[in-house]
Amino acid sequence: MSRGGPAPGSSPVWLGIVLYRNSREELERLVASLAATRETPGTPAFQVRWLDNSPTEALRDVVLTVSPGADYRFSGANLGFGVAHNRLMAEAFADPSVRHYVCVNPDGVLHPECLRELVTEAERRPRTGLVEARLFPDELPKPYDPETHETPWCSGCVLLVRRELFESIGGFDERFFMYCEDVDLSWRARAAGFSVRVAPRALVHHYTVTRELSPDRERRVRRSAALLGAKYGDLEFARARMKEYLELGGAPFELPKESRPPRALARVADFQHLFEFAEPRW
Amino acid sequence: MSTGARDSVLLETLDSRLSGLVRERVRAGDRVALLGEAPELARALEAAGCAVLAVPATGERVERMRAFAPTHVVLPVEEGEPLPQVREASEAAPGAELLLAMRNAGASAALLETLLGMAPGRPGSSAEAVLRGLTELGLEVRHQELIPCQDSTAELAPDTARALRRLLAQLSPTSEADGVLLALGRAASRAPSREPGLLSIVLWAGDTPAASLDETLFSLACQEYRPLELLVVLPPGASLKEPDARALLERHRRLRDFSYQLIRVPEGGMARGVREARGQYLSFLDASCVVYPAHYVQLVQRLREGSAAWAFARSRWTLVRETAGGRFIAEKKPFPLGDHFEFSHLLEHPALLYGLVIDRSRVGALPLEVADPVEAPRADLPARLASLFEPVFTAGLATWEWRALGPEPMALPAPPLQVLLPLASLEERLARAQARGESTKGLRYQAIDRLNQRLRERFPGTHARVRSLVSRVLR
Repeated sequence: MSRGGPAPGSSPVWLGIVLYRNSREELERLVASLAATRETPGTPAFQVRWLDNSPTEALRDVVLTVSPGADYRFSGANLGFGVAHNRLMAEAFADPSVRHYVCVNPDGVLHPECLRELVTEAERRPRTGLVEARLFPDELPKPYDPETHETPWCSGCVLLVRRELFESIGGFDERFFMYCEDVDLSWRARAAGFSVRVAPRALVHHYTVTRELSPDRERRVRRSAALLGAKYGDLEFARARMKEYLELGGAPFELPKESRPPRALARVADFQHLFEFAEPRW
Repeated sequence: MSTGARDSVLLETLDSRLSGLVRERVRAGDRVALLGEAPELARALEAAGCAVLAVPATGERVERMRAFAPTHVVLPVEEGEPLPQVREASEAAPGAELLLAMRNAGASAALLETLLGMAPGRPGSSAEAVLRGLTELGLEVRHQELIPCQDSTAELAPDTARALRRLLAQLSPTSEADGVLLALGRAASRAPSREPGLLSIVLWAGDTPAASLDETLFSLACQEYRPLELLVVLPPGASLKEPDARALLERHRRLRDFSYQLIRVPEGGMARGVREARGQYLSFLDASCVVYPAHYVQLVQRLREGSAAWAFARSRWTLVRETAGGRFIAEKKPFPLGDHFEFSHLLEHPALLYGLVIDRSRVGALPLEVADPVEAPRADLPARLASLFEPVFTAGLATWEWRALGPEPMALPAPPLQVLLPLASLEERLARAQARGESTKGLRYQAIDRLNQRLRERFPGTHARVRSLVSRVLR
């Protein structure tokens, strides 16, 4: 538990942070933003769990320095985004008092009102499944309804998962190591009748456009996209992404032989807009 | 008229204008110390009910002035350097208003005559040097009169002489003056000293909802560049109240520290912000803007790598709708800047003022003050900068956004400017313009872009279907 927070078990919200070789500066900024979040009036009590997927435990000291008393765990292996968050989510929801689990990317900086606005949005309507924070300063161009805030899918950068959703459809599909697992969870949520929304007033500073392109990242994106296409029955999309993946030097793998997806799932999937997975606003 | 004769006339003019200025500024009961011979003025002042201390001897001047405790000190019109006398008078009579007239050694007409071999260099200081020296003495100008240069273009074509003088005036406005009259007082606060590496951002928050300023400050707090100083201009009539603005600033500086100052003046706040700025680097922003995290790091880096005086970055125009649930971004489009700097961009898109960083150590005496953008940003400063200093333009991805509730405002008419440009640069621009005109490929894409834009605006449903079809075909 982070310093100054309530006793374990009494917080309705858990924040899960999955680490992988992060810089100290990045974690200092995140922790500063969590401190500001905690002091913002109206923010519910929350606990923070750190799960480190790095090759070594070197980040333990860093985390405990920037956030004394933090709940840090070392995975011992790079589990991937979805698996790591699933572990934390399962632990969070094992406590009956926890209503929401929030995935928080360690390279994000929460606006002080972010968590309050996320939770407000999540509790605004019944049968809400997922609520995402709005990426700032350059948000994703995917659409959302300015009145209802419904969106085709939610980004996993800062993503609130409601207990009701987790108990109904589970967490992330663990076949996705990284990327597209958030799109998949969103589509499954919508297919199951849950509302998937943006919280427009919940901002998270997260800007990756100028990051150097890494071949590894490009391969992972395409591998996950190919999996997504196969899972939802768009074989043309899946093969095209698989081809790109192999051209980038990815190790060959078998796409899953999914049976034809149920109509509810097929209805929400959108492969018309490449990696946008929805028609962009600009 | 010969140069020498003209200078004599100028000195006489300065003398008589100074007497006039003194009469305008003193009231009955004031105590006036005259440090130069001016018997007529002394009589006139006494007749007007003033006490006069006339021409104290050099050796006892300080003591006599201290004892007299003048309200005004009038310095003699001299050909030399006025600053030592100003210093002495301001120390001997710290509360007094100082009145002086000086011949400007930096007058453009005089400089041209010297360069053309028509006259020796004018002795003494330039008005610019004196103004800078006054700031260092903790004095401020309360009143200023300029005596304009007389044209002496006999050895140059008039247009050439005028163009050269206009360039000098753009760099240093006082170069247009042959002589200067000044009324000086003690500055309320000392001018800040320049801090190397510090980036000062003068931020206009004049007509801004709290949510908008909040986003701007959040983006600034997450800037990679440090050290950072914000000068937030919040006029007293602004809808946002001072305690709310302070609360936002304090909240965001916790994420990553920056220093700040709130500037609360009814008008001229942006210019005041520039004067108060301590940074070697200077930038402007509006509370409708957000900056991406590497914006300032990239611009300053480009300045450090080369010798340019200023740099500016590509940007986007973002259309925002206020809804009950928060701010909704309906559209983003890039300012059409191309891959190279073009002067016309600055004139067409005044908001580009907010995408520049100036290295103040490289712009000499160029005035950097900007007007308060009460209704819309103005292109004056970028245009003035570009007229003398070729900028670095960081083409590539946009690194900041202007977030507006409506379309981009119409640009104001361009200010009349003389432009200094290397021939090679001019040729390069002409070649680019020609290539643009000749490139049918470019035209084809421009036409497609325009068609796409119109289709999207007028028939969004059709646009979506066409886009979907094209995506399928291309993938």
